[in-house]
Amino acid sequence: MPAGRHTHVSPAAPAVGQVAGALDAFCAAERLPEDVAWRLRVALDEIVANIVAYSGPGEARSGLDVWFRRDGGLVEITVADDGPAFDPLERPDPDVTLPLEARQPGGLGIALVKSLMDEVHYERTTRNVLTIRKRIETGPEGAGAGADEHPTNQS
Amino acid sequence: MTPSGRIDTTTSGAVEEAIRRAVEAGARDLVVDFAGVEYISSAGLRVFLLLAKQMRDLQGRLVLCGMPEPVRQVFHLAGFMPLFRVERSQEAALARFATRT
Repeated sequence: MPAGRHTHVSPAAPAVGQVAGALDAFCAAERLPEDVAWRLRVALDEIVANIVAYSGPGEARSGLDVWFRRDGGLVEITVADDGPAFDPLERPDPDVTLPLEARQPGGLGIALVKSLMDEVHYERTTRNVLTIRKRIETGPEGAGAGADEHPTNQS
Repeated sequence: MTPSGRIDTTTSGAVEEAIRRAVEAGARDLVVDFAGVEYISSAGLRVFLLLAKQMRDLQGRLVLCGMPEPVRQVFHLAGFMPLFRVERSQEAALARFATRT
């Protein structure tokens, strides 16, 4: 499992709020830019809400674990839960071109996660392990500006 | 209506409830100003999708405005922009109603 901040919660409805609080603390500690922070908040809200929705209410669960890690210009969040094997990435994305009457709210969350993150990866071990990654884009004026804008020799 | 803060799994129920009360009280011309909203997740999108359908059924009018970038992005990524009337400011949103009285 990746190093970094870790939070463990039980998979009940308040889990979403608890994980959001842990993410806020991580964003503040790492001073993440707001444009990165809101994307992480939406993505994690979707992921944890999905897990809560799919874990049976009466089933005893040992909970879900969330690891937060920053490695330079990359933020990585890993969410592991003990629910039945379920790869949310296998679901087809909803058709976002349908007219109003044909729209269903289901499936939007994971599609949003894919759009908002740079990478989303699912792995089934003894648990469901979902990892999201987001690059921190720094403006051209910022210190240590993005390699894309300045592909110069970095010694 | 002026929701504020985060519209996500934790808070969307309260937003939905506030909207329900307004519609029950007879509101048929609704402006939702997102200026004070930090971000919106799919739990919030669901509320506004249902509201759009409801207002259509009630022959009401719904205009969204004041969307900060995170809100605009999520509406855009979800393909929701064509489903709503979206204006930049509250003034522009209210002007939509003034043109047809």
